[in-house]
Amino acid sequence: MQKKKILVVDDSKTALLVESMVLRKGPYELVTASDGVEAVEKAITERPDLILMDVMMPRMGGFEACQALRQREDTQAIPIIMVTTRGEAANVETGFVSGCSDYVTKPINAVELLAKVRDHLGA
Amino acid sequence: MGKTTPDRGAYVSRVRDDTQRYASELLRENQRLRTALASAMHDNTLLREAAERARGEIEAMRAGEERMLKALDRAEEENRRFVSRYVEVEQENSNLANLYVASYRLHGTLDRREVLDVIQEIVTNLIGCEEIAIFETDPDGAAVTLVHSCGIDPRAHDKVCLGEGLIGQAVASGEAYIAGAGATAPTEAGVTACIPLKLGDRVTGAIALFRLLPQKAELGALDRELFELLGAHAATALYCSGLEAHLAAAGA
Repeated sequence: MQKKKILVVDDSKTALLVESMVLRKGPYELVTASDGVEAVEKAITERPDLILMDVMMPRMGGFEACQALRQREDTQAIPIIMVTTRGEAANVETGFVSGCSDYVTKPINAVELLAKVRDHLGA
Repeated sequence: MGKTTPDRGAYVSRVRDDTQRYASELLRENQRLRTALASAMHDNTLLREAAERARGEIEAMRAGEERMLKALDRAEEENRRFVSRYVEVEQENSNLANLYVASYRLHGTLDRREVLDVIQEIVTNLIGCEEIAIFETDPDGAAVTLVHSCGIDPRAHDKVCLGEGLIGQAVASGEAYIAGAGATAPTEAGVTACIPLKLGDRVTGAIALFRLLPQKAELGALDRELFELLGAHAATALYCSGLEAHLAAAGA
């Protein structure tokens, strides 16, 4: 069975490492990016099945990258889970307006993250 | 004396014949009923026996069903225990992974600037706090000086004398200060936790955490383990990066 591909985007190497260790527990192939610009590029070339994206990043933030991906025909259907340090309603609302499918808050809860990823990928 | 008339004789004879025939029919009917009764009684005995056997079987089946229901309850209970244990183990694995990541990142560089950034990343991503101050002990050991901060006014915490406030007390005693259970709001001077950085018994600085992220309900067991790890490993990493910078400067 072909592994589902997940693009993990975060400018923090610590966060990337934590998220990758959690996701490696599942049958997933991981690709990483360190900001929004690189995320959009890799989403186009790698065609991931899901994107896990931090909100606050240099060059291009998560919300902006999310909007850019939603405007492209070849990436608009990819589920995007935003990773935010701010779990307030207003911030979550901004995320959904920008087109994200779901969100998780930092610090990452491994069980919750895996459950949401499985939910969106169906695997 | 009148003699019997032929009519009367014929009548009596007919009555006697009818009576005999009737009696004979009654006897036959009686015999038939006796036989039917005997057969019914036999059937009844058989049915009683069958009913008794069926009752016994039903009781045995009920006992079996009860045993199976109890076994099912036990299996469900065991399943619940396994699920709960699985979640616990997953959480433990995740906690261990976080400790590994923290240690790996702290010792992954000798660049002082990067070490300070890594400490901040650990506090933000693994503990859940974006307001942080990192102090180093002054050469005379009388105070600690702010060397890195995020999310706070650095002027308010530029220098802290030993024994002064929660930060000064934590540095002086070498004991971490952690706000009580359920304390999401910071206490004195906005401090939620203060971890002394220690090389052996020597306190070389401190990490102070101020307001936690809104979704972080409270500091838990993993946070305390991370504080212990940070207390020792961040101190070592900062010391090594300082040594590296010193050697580089001497080499240059």
